[in-house]
Amino acid sequence: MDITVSHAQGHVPVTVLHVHGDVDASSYQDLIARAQEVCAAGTRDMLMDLSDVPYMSSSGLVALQSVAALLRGDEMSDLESGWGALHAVERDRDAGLQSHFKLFNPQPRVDHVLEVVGFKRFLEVYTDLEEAVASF
Amino acid sequence: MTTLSLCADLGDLAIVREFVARIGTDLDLDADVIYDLQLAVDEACANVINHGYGGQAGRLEVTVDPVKEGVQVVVRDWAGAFDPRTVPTPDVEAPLEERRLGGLGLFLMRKVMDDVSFAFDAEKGNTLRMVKRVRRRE
Repeated sequence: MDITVSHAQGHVPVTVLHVHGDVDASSYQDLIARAQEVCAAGTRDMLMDLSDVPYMSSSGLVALQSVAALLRGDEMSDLESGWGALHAVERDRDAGLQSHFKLFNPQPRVDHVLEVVGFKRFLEVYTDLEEAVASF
Repeated sequence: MTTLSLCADLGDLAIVREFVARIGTDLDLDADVIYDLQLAVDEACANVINHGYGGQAGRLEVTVDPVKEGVQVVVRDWAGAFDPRTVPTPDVEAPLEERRLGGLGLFLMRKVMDDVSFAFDAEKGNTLRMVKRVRRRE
């Protein structure tokens, strides 16, 4: 599995993580580590491009859950954002949707697994890149 | 009977998936069925490697066979006895932030396969038997 990073500008700066290859128990920690790196470099909103991921096991799902938590945690710990950020997190929790971490273009079989485990009720999935970036 | 023997190493999971894909193709199975078999076997092997052997060296066997009702996969290991009742069932309705990690692998195995059963024998080790019902192509 390889990961490349690009940046796009929506209403806010969006980091796009392009994942290439299978995400399984041997590789999912690399995905989390890369997400941690870009978050440490300042990323607050992330789109994960899964269009080149032919296979994802439960380990990959754990990675998605961890990255979602990472982005929520960054915002919660960003005290400079003040009450606005804290209220935004509360809204996330009420709605269940993750507003700072979204998915782009998973292949049908990966998409099916996301559906089966209920992730699609909490992670927005886009198939149009411009629309995805603009949604942040 | 077609069996793959391997060392318990996460780096070999791709080999396991390729093995399942090759047999599935030989059996003329649909790509969606092959994907489900790969997912179930991958999850089973990852569980054995991570939790059974705990990252230590060990032996693992994967056998794929056509059976009357479809395809049978048997995963055998010689780690300690595994009791699936000790694995928590994940709450797939809960919001992400309230979910506990773990248990998803077994959940997915049961979701994509029609029969999943575990047995332990002191000599034969753990035997995980999974069957996917498949309608043969005309």
